[in-house]
Amino acid sequence: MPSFTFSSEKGQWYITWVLTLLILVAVLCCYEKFLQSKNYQPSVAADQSLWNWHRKHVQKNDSVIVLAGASRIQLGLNTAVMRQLLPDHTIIPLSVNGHYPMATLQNLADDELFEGLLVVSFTAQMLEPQYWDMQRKYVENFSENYNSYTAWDAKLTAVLKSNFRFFHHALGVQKVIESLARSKTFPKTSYVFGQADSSAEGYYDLVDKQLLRKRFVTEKQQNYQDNPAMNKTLWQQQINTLNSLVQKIERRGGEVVLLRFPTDGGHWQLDERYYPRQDFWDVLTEKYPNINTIHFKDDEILSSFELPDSSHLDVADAKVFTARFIELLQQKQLIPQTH
Amino acid sequence: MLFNSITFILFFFWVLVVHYLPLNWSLKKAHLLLASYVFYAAWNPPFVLLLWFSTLVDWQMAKHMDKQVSKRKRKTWLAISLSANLGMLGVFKYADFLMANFNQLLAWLSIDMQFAEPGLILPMGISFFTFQTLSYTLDVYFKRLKPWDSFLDYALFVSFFPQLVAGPIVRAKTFLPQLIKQRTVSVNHFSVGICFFVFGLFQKTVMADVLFAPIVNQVYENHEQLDLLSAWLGGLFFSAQIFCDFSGYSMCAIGLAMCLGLTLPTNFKSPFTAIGFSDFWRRWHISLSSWLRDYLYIPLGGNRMGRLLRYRNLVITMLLGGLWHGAAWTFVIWGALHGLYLVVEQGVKHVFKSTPNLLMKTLLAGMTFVCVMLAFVVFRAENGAQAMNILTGMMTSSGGATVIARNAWLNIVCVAFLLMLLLQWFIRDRKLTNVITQTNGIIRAVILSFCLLLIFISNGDSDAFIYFQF
Repeated sequence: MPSFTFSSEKGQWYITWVLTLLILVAVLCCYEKFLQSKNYQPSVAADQSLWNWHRKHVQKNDSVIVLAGASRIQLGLNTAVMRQLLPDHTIIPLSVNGHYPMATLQNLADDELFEGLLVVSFTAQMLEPQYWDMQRKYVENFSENYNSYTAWDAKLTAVLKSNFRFFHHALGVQKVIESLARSKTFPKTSYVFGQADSSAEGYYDLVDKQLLRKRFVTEKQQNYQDNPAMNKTLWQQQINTLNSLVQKIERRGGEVVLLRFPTDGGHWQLDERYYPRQDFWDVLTEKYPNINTIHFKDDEILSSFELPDSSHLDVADAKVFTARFIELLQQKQLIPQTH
Repeated sequence: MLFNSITFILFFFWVLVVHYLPLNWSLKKAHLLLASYVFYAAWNPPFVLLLWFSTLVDWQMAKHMDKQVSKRKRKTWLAISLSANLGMLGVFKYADFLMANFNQLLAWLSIDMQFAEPGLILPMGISFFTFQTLSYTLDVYFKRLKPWDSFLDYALFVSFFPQLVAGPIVRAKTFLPQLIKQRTVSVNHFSVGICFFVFGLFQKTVMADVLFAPIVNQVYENHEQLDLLSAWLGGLFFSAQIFCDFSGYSMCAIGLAMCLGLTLPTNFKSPFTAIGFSDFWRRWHISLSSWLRDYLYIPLGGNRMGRLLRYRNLVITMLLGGLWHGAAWTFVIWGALHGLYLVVEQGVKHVFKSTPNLLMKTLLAGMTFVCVMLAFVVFRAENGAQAMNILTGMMTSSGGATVIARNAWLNIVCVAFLLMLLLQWFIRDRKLTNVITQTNGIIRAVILSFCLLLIFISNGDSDAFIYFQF
């Protein structure tokens, strides 16, 4: 058995390690406090390995609720609230910021081991063929490169990072130094904080909402102008495909809900101009009444929120929105009533 | 498993706890072996079979070889071992490259026939562990070593996790005797091991990934139109990046082994302070260069057969050394360049026999570094055109786009680069272990906490170690 020999250096080494620990803890605590004063929250950058971890855990679990979509569902459904209200369910976000989820929906439909409830953040635009594969690289990475170690390590790292501000993904040394050199100020915090489960929380009080709203509407207008809406024939084809995917999941006991998240003001007007509800959403619900759908405009509470950037919910509103959404799921008997 | 992952830290903590339990030494070695297989399997479990295959083949071949008196029969067993190991390397590492070149040759000959490339996944660290097991059979063949009695020890020598996937390449005769009896680990030894691990991680995660890699990537992505400064900084910083990445890994490996009471060979000795190319190869990836010297250069005849054959042997050794790094022409060219450097150096030494003075030595060191850096430009390039563009950018004083922003960050990276060079000169003729041990405890704490702090908060895009792909 090895033993630690006693030498004159031993004391020096104890000084070294105790002092190292003290300096490290002291500096990190001060930095953490400083970041807190600058309104930073812990934040995790979701990556493909973390997505793989979550994707693996949707399998063989009939009480799983999977959230697929892009930023609206990331910010709009508060997973902490969901877990609190639905303690018997496993909540797994598979959302990816800026990527429509059709590839994920297709992948889950093809996965015989998935038999839970899938909530899809849905808009008509996401059925445009050019947007179909936006999450394909995540799906392919899972199929081809899934590795327990990297997925587990990603999850572990995410959990650790979700507890400390100094791990914030936007606070790299380079960014801090460049900001200090350029404007003599510490980098301003973003208003979105990623959670360990790949969901996110938006704190819109930290940002100029008017400016953000203007930018979002302008960008959306440009997006719609650059990508004209599909014709009715193509829409019919696309919803047929969508229905076949939904049916595939439902045949083995799973469920799918298409949720239209709120947009407001100029954003909603643009949505209505390019993808009018009666020409798209209503056609879908009439042709396939079997598909579970929830449109925010059909519910007084879901449509009652002011959206700071015209497209996403603030964290405080997201909690109320989530609670109402769960009530609606229960009304539709997609999940059991909780007492 | 990556050293710079939380899972590895937990894994190593577990290994340490079991290693220091009052258990039988054989049991602890079995645990280390199992841990090594878990470490390797974490990346891709089926490839552990290759590790087992390589272990078993060389174990058996060495046994058979030792029993034979006839040189011819010994040679046969050696041939089987070489075929199995190099065959495995050939299939997994070089099949695509060979097939692509064969297809290219057919196209040049206007033969309308193309073969599909196998597209096999390259098992992590295959070049390292095959060279390690080969050194065992070769040592037995050359009668430098008797076959080891304990299979457990031998399997642990092949698979020991700290150095399994990226070296240092360990020799059986230095590693196996360490496994006979468990060594006492002093607080000093253990602490130096931890220091090595922290400094290695710092080199990798902060120096290589945060400081140098982003600028290097920028330069290589925009290689078509580079201004003079960007091209030079790209070349210089890649040299620094690959040093910090690879030397960082070696340092971590050596440190981890020290914590377990085992000694791994030094792999880097301030290589950027080398005076001449022979000196560079005595300082850079020492475990590979000494392997190539002992098992390739010397068996080819070394310097015993006259000047011309010596030059030939140098070029062959460096070409194969280049190819060892990867199946691409850029690696072959990199090896050829180093072969050429060594030949020129030998030629110059033959003509000028006087000992250089201090000024001359400084000039030679600078020249060595620049030549090594130019070769690294080719090493990093994805193809010949990219390498040529960057090298052309270095030679052209006008035109080209300013790829790298001239800002405070660049100043910091330049300072870090210069500090790295200065540090290498400072410890050039010293042993890092002695430097660490002789430093005052408080200063050590300040340096360690600085490194740890930057490891924690640097938040770079940390990639796998570059040498994993070899």
